[in-house]
Amino acid sequence: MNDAKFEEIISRMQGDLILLEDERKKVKNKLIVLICAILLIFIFILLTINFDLILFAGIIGFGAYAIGSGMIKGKYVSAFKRNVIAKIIASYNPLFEYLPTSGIGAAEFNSSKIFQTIPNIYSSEDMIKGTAGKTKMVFSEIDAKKETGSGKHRKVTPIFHGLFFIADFNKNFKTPTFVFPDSGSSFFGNLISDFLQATNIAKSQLVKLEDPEFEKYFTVYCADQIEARYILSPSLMQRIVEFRKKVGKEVLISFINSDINIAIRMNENYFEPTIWSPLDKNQIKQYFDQLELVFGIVEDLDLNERIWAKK
Amino acid sequence: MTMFLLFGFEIIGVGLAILFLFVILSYNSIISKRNQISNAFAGIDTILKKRFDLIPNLVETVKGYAKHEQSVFENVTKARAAMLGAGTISDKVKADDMLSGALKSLFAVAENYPELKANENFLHLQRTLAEIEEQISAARRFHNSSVLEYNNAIQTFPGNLFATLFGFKSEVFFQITNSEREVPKTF
Repeated sequence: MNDAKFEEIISRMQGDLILLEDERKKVKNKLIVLICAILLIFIFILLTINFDLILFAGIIGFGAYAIGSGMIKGKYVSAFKRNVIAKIIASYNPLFEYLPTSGIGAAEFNSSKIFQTIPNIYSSEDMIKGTAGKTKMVFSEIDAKKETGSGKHRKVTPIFHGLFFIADFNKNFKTPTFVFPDSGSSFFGNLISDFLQATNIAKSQLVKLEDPEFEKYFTVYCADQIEARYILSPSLMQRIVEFRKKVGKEVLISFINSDINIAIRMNENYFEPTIWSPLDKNQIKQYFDQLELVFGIVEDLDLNERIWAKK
Repeated sequence: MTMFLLFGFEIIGVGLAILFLFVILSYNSIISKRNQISNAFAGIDTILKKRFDLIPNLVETVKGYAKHEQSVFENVTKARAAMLGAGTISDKVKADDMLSGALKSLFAVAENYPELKANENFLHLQRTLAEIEEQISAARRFHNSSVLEYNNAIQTFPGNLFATLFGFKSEVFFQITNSEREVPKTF
């Protein structure tokens, strides 16, 4: 999206932004009061009751903050999503649906088969769905973890946190193809990484492609060597490399059930307002950029190109 | 002295066994790479067959609207027949190039017939053909990558020694011709 359009949308949002900024200041003040209250209680417990309770009091304090801040921020966050995120999305395509509290389901996430581990702690939010040109797409933020053991042996292993994108792929295919980051090259050199990848039988055959830059970033697995190359045409390989460079994060892709699934690993929580800094143009620009990244996927990977049998 | 001799024989024996094992593994690896080329070639053949089967239907559809373009239809039919008779890779490359050229002329003819261009069946055939062309290109890429792997194996040390010993010959790449570089325009 160009700067002129950004300015135009910002000017249309101006009224809402002023109201939201007032609300943000109120929320910020309430949070400061909450933090002070928790700190005072914490110090009081330590000084008057028992110093040994420091760990217990700390945990209670953090818990109280998490619950309290959630309650204080809740109304502001939903107003922000409704008035800022939803409006930016509408500026891209008014037919897109934005569901802040919904997300891609665990079944769809698992059926992408990008991750070998099935999560038992799963949450997703900020779902955006619609049709861009000829391509049906949906994306949302996902947090997936695996919990094992209990009590002292309880262990939570993160599987994925970030943006997950599903779109209808523009070619017909039968065999799933997986495009994973080439994790081996940077550590072991090509020879050893080739060996490691070739022996990874769980992910079907290793497909060696002719684009050296693509091979530097990714490793491809598919049970059908020809179909993998049919899906990953030279131009799509180039486009995936450009997309990976643009995102600057780990990107995992699967082509399965006639869809393309893209998982972008991210540490930060997307589309969430920041309470501690003013809701100004710079902050809004960040949300624009985040949304542009996902809306741009269809164009970046040229998924609307439908010259093949699939319409 | 005898102990030393026995120890020496043992070392030589183990060395020979390792060498023998190495020869077997290298030989098998080259054979499996060569088989992969045959497999890739069969893959190309399967997809070429799909295109081959599509052509009569395509020609009939175009004929329905452009009866006077006899020479174009004849060229397509000739190229199709050449494809049927091609056995070696180089023959197939030539016939395939001829067929691609003939199909391109066929689509060029279609440009002059707006009713044909709007025909649902023709549009479907065009799309199917574009899909097949992309599949052919994918199959060729697999073939070429298999040839590269095999040729590298028999031309680098120690594979080149086995190549001389067992008479392995370099394989030919499926060259991409000029007409193929231009993907048939489908709309």
